[in-house]
Amino acid sequence: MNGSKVIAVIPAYDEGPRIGDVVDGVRAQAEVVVVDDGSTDDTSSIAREHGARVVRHLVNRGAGAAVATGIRRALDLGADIIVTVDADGQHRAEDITVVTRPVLEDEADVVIGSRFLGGIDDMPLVKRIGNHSLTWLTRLLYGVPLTDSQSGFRALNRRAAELFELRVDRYGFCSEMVGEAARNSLRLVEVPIRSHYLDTRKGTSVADGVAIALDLLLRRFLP
Amino acid sequence: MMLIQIIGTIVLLLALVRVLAGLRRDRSDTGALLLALALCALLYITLLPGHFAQALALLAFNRPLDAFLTVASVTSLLLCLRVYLRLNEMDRNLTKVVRHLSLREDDE
Repeated sequence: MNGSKVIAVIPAYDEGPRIGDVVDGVRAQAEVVVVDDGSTDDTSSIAREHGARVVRHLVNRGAGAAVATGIRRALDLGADIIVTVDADGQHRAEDITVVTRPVLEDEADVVIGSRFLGGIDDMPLVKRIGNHSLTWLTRLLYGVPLTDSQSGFRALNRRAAELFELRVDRYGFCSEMVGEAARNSLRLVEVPIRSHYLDTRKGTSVADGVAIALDLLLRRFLP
Repeated sequence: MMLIQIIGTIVLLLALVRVLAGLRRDRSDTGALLLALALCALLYITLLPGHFAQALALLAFNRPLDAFLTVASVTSLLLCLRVYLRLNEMDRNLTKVVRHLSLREDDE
């Protein structure tokens, strides 16, 4: 990809049944760092078998913590572009070229793959409402026009990754990244991606949504 | 002045002197500053109860109990927020340790 080193960071927790396929798909496009966030199953060993570099948290710390660890490792490995991909297989590996293109062409520092611009299948109504509510709150707090603040499919250049100070350990990190981009005056764009919900039991619950909103407010007003 | 007012004033003044002495040593102690403000408020209530009742009426509190409950509710909320922030900070520190260990393990 234009001589730039692209590293994909995949935060994973108990994704043994799916992580192999996800790593296989992503490895065709980028180096892969899987951050096993204290899984109780064989996520780590399967990811390794499929050729990923694995960083393992001893205990579960949350998706945000795992992404921050992965970004740190990717920077150590000399990444020019870092892509974050969910481990549940909801994203299509071929969309990596879509999210990295604006960064490669120096049109953006941070790119968010928007599921609502591109299309999302089988997302439960309650999650859809939760996503839109959190996106609305993110827009309100940071003044960034977005359609999908909670998408885990993102690309950022090295400068953005170095500037980001990610402190939220849980799912609130998605909005936190938007806030960090705004705080550092980075160029943020959205691109359409397609997504398919495979497991409606995992991901954010209503309680998580409330916690994310609280994290967002605290992060915004208590720096 | 009633006896209870005299005793209350002495006790509050002693407490205020102690808190202010602590504040002189460490001006950044926000807890001590809030305590000093609370003691000043109590001193005002003890010394000028009539004036205090008028001030409450101006603030649309019909009874002193309403004002007390409002202040207690706000204080409880602030305390809860403080505890939440402290727990959050501990959580973040724990994450830093976990991250450090995991990256070191990966380096080896």
